[in-house]
Amino acid sequence: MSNQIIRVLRDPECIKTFVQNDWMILVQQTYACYLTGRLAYLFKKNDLMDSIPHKVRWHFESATTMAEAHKIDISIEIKKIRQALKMTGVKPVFLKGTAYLLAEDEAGRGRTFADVDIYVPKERLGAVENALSWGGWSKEQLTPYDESYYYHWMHEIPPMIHSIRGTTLDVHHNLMPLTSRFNFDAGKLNAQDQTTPGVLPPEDRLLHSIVHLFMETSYEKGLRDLSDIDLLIKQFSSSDSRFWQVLLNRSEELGLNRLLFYGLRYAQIILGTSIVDSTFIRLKDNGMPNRFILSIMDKIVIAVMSDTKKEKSLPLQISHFALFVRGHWLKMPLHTLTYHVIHKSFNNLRDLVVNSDK
Amino acid sequence: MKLAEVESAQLSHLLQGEGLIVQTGRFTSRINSSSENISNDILTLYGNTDFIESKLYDFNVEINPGKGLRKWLRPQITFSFSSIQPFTPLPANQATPMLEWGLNWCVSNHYHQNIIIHAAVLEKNGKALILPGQPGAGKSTLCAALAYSAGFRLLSDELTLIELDGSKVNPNPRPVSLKNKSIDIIREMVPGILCTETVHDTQKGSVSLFRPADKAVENANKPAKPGIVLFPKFNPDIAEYELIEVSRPHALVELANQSFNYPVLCQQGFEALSAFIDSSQCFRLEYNGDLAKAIEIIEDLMLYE
Repeated sequence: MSNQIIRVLRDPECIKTFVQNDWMILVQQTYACYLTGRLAYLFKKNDLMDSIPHKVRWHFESATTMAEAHKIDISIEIKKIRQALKMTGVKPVFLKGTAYLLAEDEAGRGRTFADVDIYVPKERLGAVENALSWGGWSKEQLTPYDESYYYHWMHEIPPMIHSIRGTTLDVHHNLMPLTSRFNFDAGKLNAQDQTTPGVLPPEDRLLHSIVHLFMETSYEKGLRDLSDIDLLIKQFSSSDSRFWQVLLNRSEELGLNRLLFYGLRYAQIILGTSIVDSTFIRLKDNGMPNRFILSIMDKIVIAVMSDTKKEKSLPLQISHFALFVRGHWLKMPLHTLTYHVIHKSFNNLRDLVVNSDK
Repeated sequence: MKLAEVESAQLSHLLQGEGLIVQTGRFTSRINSSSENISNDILTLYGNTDFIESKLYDFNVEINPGKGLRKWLRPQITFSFSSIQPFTPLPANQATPMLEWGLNWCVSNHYHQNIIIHAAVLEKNGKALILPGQPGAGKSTLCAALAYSAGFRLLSDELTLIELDGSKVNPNPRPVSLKNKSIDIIREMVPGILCTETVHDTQKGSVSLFRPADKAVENANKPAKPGIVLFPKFNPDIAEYELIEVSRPHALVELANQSFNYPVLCQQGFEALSAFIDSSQCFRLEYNGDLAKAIEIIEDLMLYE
């Protein structure tokens, strides 16, 4: 099946040559990749809504309606979170989708997401958790194992759900798992954006987006996240001529060159993002993996990102699995990972056997 | 050509291969399935719809057996929409009910051109009769009785689609899903009615699906004007029946609460419902299960101007 969604993300104008079958493939792929709202935004922005056949257009119109409602919901949520945390004096930093909306990034347009993510300093975590429970958020019931998994190894606490609105809030106290292979000092992230209070500055917003995607274990929404990265790069590099310089300095400071390299490389290869040559030259000695690793990463990342049907052919399954293992590998040292995998598989197997009696 | 006239070998071939495009109410769905029996059930339920040759469709769905260990241990069935699986898998014998629930989900989650209420809706003399109701209120039973024995035209037994200007209800005629006791009630009331074999032990108890009448399917593009909004309540303990007029603001709030996409449409949704309710009359009907009596009352109500 041809990959219409990647074609459209690269060049929305290409729909002008679409025949019926292309449209059916595109609609299927936009839903499968959680990109219906994003495409609707790109079509509107490029004045292409009229080039969509009538029978197909409603999908994109509906997605726009949903994204607009989502934006209102999230802005209410932001207000409530700030109100709840007021008593602690902590000013939360909003991350990911919420940050894009707040900063009015293009990556926030037409994008819907389930959870709001915030970052708070680790030493204030107790106060923040308390204030949030006063405000109506509470943690899901977890098994003792999962509970200790979050607190000892992860960079966030278990999701908190608001008892009335049902919204989910992820509270991060670091931007990467505590056990992660990347040595990362979250304290350095407290710098807030100059124009929008409550979000990371552009270079950190992009880095966080890249780190998040390339430390992932599941790539179900991989293409959407890569498209976020593409839009952020386009927006930041066109509005600030010093952007690449600032980005590279920052990435070096935080020790994230390897992940930055992947982010830029795959955005360029898959979505055609334009990246100034000097950036890759600078990353070549410090960031780029060796040839062997690079050729494997090229194969599996491109395969997984282009997997628009979640079709489980064997090579694709292997690629997904390879990234799954890689993600965990990056998050935890081997002994921790082994322990975690054994524990989880045992529980899954037990559930399967026990529940089969029902 | 109607779906029933297509050779069954061709239907199975399409279902298992490039997909069978079915007129599922006002939407078209491309259905893929390797599940046994589903081909027969589709014929039973959609046999009177037009066989579609166009290659444009609204929803792309699959209903297929689970993979891995599950194939042997407690076989299951999964529903997917554009490769997304919104539900946990169900036991394999629930394939057809799952397909129907899945198709409802496709509409209520993605179609925001109309405000969608969880309610049955029928038409008589051009006017809509909307029957919202919590599970157990008897809306489906009442809806089936009105559709199959009282000359009402079925618009939908589950999703009421109201145009955003509040001027009309758009039909989405699909199989009627009946549960538990009401299955036999309707089978006895309408001998020879086409329906699927009852599936027991689903989340909603026993379920059987009934094919909508030809009239409902043929008029799938003919909307109905606002008429009556009737909140039914099945109460076996009352002697006869009780009919109370409901105030319009009250009815509006109840409809908004039962709407799938009111939170998505926000102000537009409120305006649509207000306009619609302004031209409707709203009642609450408590009845003891005497369907003949309930039908009589409703027919009277529909004569109101």
